[in-house]
Amino acid sequence: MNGTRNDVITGSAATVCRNFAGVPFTHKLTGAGRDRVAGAIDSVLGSDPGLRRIRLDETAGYIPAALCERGIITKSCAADEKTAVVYISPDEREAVTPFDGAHVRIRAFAPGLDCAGALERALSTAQELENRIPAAFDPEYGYLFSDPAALGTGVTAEVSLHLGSLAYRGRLAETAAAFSKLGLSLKPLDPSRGDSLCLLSDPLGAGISEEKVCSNLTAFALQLADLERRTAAELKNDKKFLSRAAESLGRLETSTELTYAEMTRLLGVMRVAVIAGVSDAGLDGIDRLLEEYSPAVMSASVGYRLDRHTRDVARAAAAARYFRGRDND
Amino acid sequence: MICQMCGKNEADTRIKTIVNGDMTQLELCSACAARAGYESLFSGTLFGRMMSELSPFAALSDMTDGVLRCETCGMTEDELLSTGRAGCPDCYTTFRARLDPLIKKLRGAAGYEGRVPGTDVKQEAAEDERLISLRERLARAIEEEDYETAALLRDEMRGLSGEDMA
Ligand SMILES: [Zn+2]
Ligand SMILES: [Zn+2]
Repeated sequence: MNGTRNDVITGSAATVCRNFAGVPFTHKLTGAGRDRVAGAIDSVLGSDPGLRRIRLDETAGYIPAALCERGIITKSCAADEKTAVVYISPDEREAVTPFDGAHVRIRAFAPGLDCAGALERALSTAQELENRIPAAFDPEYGYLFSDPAALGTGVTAEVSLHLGSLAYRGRLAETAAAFSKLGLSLKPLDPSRGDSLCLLSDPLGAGISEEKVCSNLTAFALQLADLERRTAAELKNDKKFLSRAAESLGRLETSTELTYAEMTRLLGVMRVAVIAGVSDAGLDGIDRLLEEYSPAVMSASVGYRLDRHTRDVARAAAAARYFRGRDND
Repeated sequence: MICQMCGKNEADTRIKTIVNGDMTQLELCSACAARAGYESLFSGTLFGRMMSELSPFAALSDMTDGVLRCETCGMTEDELLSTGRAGCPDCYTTFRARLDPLIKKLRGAAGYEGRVPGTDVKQEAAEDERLISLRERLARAIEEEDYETAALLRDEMRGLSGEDMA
């Protein structure tokens, strides 16, 4: 939808949580009650051609980890042995996880800045469920959840952004504090991948409408992206940063082993260098390396569990191929 | 104290309930309390009728121990207040009097403006789009001082947004 600022904004997501009427919430739901709810969900989603049913307990261990790494399911869902089934669309842009906080958690993704697109996709699956299983709803409070503070639309919108320049300048904490005053949360997407890939979200839409949640978040994400771009532009003449970028490029071209954390850090610097206009390394290629060489995705794509050393060597080789190849262009 | 239900026997059981949004107590004799406990509150017993007349939020509670309890999940008020989490959707009805001020405090006085179950997502999106285009045409009509068209567009918008436009 919004092709601008895709150098900073990497993707959007919307999550819709729902509980069913007359059924105890997940933390109070056990045994037969839980099985009944699981069966009801499956009777609706199991026949949806747009979703594939995956039994996590029957897949290899790296699959839940890979799904979790890509943000498709939550960590708690991947770790919970009782969460046996998830429903995932073939394009992996939508996932439904039963008993993940609420009775169902529907998550949809869209590339770039498109909260509304992600929201529409998640809501239409919520509607499909609602038409067959009455949702827990109160006209005055909205959709009902065990936490009284969460009553409302059950919708959370998120935008993920690369904020490498703000991270480099040490300005993420103050930026997060400013957004928190607006009721928005800004935090690292996954601390193990460094602090520059961040998630801006509206954790508590409360009473306001789904559309407003999306349009507010979109407006703030654009502001944040502009702030990141301005900060990157300042780095263009920053000698310390320029030497750091040169050093990072050197390491990427010559390392024989790279851990994912190290590679993420180096690629993060290169990303900022591209946005600042001091490198032509290509954002698509950098992002592809970031995506394809994460530990779980690597294991999943190869189809068996690679040991750590093998992964580090393969990662370094891929980075060297990419960056040396560009030098020769 | 005389039983508030039969008005004859000595009351020895105290039952907490929510009447018109306030926590109140009923003093009953053991025979009436037992009857109330064994029979469904809304199944046509005198007590059931009395409760449903008194309040739309009459306690759907286990009456035997005098503690207000959610019938669907068994949660008690004490448990609710100590954990801060409801046990099931029906807790919001059973404990409404206690929860309502808390919820209003959390989110402010504004009511719920999100979607309600049964709204068609795709149709809603299409109507939103139509509304936006109508709004643009209305602005243009007003700018061009074409009030006849403006009035027609406004009627059309009213129809779409459910009469509540200013
Ligand atoms: Zn009596
Ligand atoms: Zn309950």
